[in-house]
Formats: sequence, C-alpha cells, structure tokens
Amino acid sequence: MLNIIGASVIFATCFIFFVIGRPDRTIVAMVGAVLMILFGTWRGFYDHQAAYLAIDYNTIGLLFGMMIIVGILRGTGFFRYLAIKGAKLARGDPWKLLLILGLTTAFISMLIDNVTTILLIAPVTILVSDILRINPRPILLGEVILSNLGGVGTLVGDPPNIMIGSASGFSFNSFVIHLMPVVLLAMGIALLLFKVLYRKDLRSTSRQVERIIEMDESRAIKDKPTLFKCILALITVVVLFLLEEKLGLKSAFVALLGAVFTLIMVQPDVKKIFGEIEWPVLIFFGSLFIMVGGVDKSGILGLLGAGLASLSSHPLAMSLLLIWISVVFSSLAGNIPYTAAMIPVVGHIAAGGFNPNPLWWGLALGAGFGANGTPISSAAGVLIVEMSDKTKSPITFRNWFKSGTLITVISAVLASLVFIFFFSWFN
Amino acid sequence: MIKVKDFMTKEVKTITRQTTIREIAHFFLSFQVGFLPVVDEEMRLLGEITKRDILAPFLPDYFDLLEDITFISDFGSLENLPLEILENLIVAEDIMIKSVVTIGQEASLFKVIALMAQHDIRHIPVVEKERLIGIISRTDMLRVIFQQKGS
Repeated sequence: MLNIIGASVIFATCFIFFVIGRPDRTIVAMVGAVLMILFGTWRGFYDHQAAYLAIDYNTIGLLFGMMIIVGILRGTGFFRYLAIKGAKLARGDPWKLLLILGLTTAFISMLIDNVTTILLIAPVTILVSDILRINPRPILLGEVILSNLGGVGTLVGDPPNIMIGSASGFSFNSFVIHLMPVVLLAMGIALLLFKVLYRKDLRSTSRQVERIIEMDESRAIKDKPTLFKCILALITVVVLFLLEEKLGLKSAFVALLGAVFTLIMVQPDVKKIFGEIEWPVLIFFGSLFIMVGGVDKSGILGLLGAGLASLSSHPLAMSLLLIWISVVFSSLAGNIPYTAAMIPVVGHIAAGGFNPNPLWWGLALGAGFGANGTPISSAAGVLIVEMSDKTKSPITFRNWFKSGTLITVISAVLASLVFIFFFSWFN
Repeated sequence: MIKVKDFMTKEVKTITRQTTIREIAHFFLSFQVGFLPVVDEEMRLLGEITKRDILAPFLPDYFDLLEDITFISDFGSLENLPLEILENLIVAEDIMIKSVVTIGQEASLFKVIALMAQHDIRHIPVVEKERLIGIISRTDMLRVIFQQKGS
C-alpha cells in the first residue's frame, strides 16, 4: 500500500507541476524520475535496472531521427517558401489565406513536429496579415488548431501517437487507415466553424494584395541543394514508413535511417545541427518513461486498469469512456504525460479480457483531440499565443474557448459517433 | 596607471524619463553624441539610449520572429512610418535600456578597453554611488591612448 501511495504522490505532484507549467517540465520530470528510482529502490519494487528497461527507446529514437532531418531542413527556408507561396495563392482573401495556410500547416504537421511547423509558418502569417491590413488572429488560431488535428492522423504526427504506435505495435499504415478519415472530417468541420465564427474578420478581400503578389518566394530558399536532399530523405522516410510492415522495420529505425541518409548527403556542421536537437524534449520523454515505469511497478496502474475494466464489460462503452477521459485529461495536463501514464493502463484493461485495439485508437483520438482543449494544452498552442501577443490582436483565453475548446468538444463527439457507427473498423 | 577619472567626459548631456523621442533625436543630431544617459533629479542613472534604440519603435513587435525578410520588396502599409510615434507618444523611458556595464572612476584604462571589447559597446557610463558622474566614449579612449604617447 505504501508503494502505491508513494509512487502516486510523486507522479501526481509532477503532473500538477506540468499543469502549472513551472518549473520547466524537463526539470520536473527528471526530479520525478530520480525520486521514483530512490523510492522504488528503498521499497524494493523498482530500481535503476527496471528504470532503464522502462524507457521506450523507439519513441525517443523516432523523435531524435526526425529532429535531425527537420533541423537540417528548416535552415533551407522551405517552410517560409511554402507560407509565402500559400499567401500569394490566397490573393488577399482572408478566408482563403486561413484555408491554404491552415491546411499547409496541418499537412506538414502530419509528418513534422507541430511546434517547428508553427514556429516557421506563423511569423510569415503575421507579416502578411499586417501588410494586407487584416486581422491575423483567426488565421493563427486556424493554423495551430489544424496543426494539432493533423498530427493525430499519422503515427509520427504527434508524440502521443508515437508512444501509442510503439506500445501497440500498430504500423504507420494502420494509423493512417484508422485515424486519418476521422481527422480529415474533424479538420473540415473546424474550417467550417472558423468560417462562421470569424465571418466578420474573414469577409473583405484586402486592397493591399499587390504587395503580397510582388513577394519573391524564391528568395526565401537559402540553400537549394540541401533542400532537395532533405526532401529526398523525407520522401524516402515516408515510403519506408508505408512499407515498414512488409520490410519488418521499426519506425524509429526508419527515422534514424532517414537522419543518417540526410547527414551523409548534406554533411552539415555536425555541432550546429546537433546543437539544434531539442535535447530537453528527449530527456523529458526518457524521464517520463522512468517515472511511469515506477508508477506501474507500484501496482496503482494495474488497479486503475482493473477498476476501469469493472465499470463495463462492453468494448464500445469502454472505448468511448477512454476517448472522453483522454480528451479531458490531455486538455488539462498536456497529452504527453497523460498518454505515457495511460499506455500501461490500457494494457491492464486489455488484460481484463478486452480487445486492446479499439482502446488504443480511442486513446489516440482522445489524447490527440485534447491538444486543442485550452491554449496551454499543447506546446504549439502556447507558442502561438506568445507570438500573437506581439500583434495588435493577441489571442485571449476567450478567443481560444470560442474556437479551440469548441472544436475539441466537436471532434471528440465526432470520434465517439464514428466509434458508435463503425466500431468493427477499430477492432 | 591611468584611471577613468583622468580621461572621462564630465560634461555629460543627460535626459529624463519624460524626454520625447523627437527631442532625443534632436540631441543626437545637434550635439554629435551617440549616447544619452537617462537620469532622475538626483542624477541617478536609470538607463541609456543610443541611436540604435531610437529606430525600434518604428518596427512592429513581431518583427523579431521573422528570420528573413529578403523576399519582400514592398512592405505596403508598413512603409508609412507611424509618425504619430513622434508626437510625444514615445518618451525616453519607453525605449531606454538598462545599462549593461557601468564603471567606477578609479578603474583602469585597460579595464575600460576590455569591457568595451567584451560587450561590444561604444560608451560606458561612469557611476559613483549610483550617480552618474561622467561617460567614456571610444573617442575619449582614442584621445587618451594615442595623444598621450605623442605628447
């Protein structure tokens, strides 16, 4: 009993700090991991050996590999190029600008980390809006919300999916087949909602459109040869992801293969590229896995799983429950710590006689859609709010609740309906 | 050893928190200075303004997010500089920055050279008990180093 209480207190305390957002989540997770090992060693239920085994190296390897490829790609100016090209296509129509830049962000986010995507697309969006004299707020909101939604559609699109993919053994294709239709539907509804909610801001075409047309997007590309090599590497990675089942490859291996391929072709300054790797993120994941490993070994997650399993014996009811729990908790505490903790729980529920497949999909949809719950539910959301503070129309919590939170609820309802009507699809 | 008090400029043009941006520009243009310390009534140093800081209000806040702007030839409505900024809207305290480096009057010439190089700055305010008593510019440095040897 003491094991359970101690481990739960350590984990719950860290969770509360994740919600508060301070100290930095990496520091919190590292402290939590160390405390968990200390406590587990003292009580005899966990030790450094078990902690080592608890780390999901597939997740960390995948993140690491993609970070290298993206780190090299972002220096080429490719994302800026896409943003300018998109802005020109919109021809000064704010609604088209939202549509084109939002969808661009969403599709890039299916393969690449959301924060990086927003970091590169949003500044151009703000500049273009300012030149056009239109309100950037709906467009920025659209970009980040669609980016969060898009990531749910693939195995590599967002961290919860990477972790779930690794734990469940589902392939890249399986993620696309099961989740992409729901995601595309949710994106469509989100866009319609934006059109209604922000009809005033999105109505009139700007007269300043010539300035945008005059922009020379080719000047945004800083290094063409490197860009082509990166795109080639990304295409290779996607093809290998699609074939990973046939070839028997792990997704982390594919990402690392792509990274090695890019490194040998581009031969960048290694110190510079490795300096751009987000080590705090990788350490955060490692520490989180260690912490969750300890919580699981203490027995509490087993009890939680058995408790949930006893609520209903109906697989659909259990999946729906999981979707909604995931939406709520991911919105509040961020979907990464939540998913890390829930993965063992899903295993325990399945041990109670459930088919785990619909549970995994429910977790992925719930945790993924939860990212739009509040402005602080996702790292990309936090970033876009910070950026919008530098414009004349900052994104407020109120703005977010009107769009992001509403879309979270709608997309969760949508996921539930899809589960209700097409449950066999997720078996 | 040559000390700061031996070569600093003691007659310093200073401004207050409420000096307007137009007046600040006027000082830069008419007095051939590139550095204005901001002080209170008791000459306590509050901050400093250089020619670089005076242009910042004309740029939208979000500009530091953009890594590259070479693709734009015409900034459209942004090209109309918000000249209302000049109409007393911006005063010294809005654009001043806190002095990164200050120095005491007993410090050595070499220390001034080292500080200027390390922080890549052109002026250092000389402060005694929080009060501004002089400044050292690179011109002062040139004078003390090269004229002394010649004389």
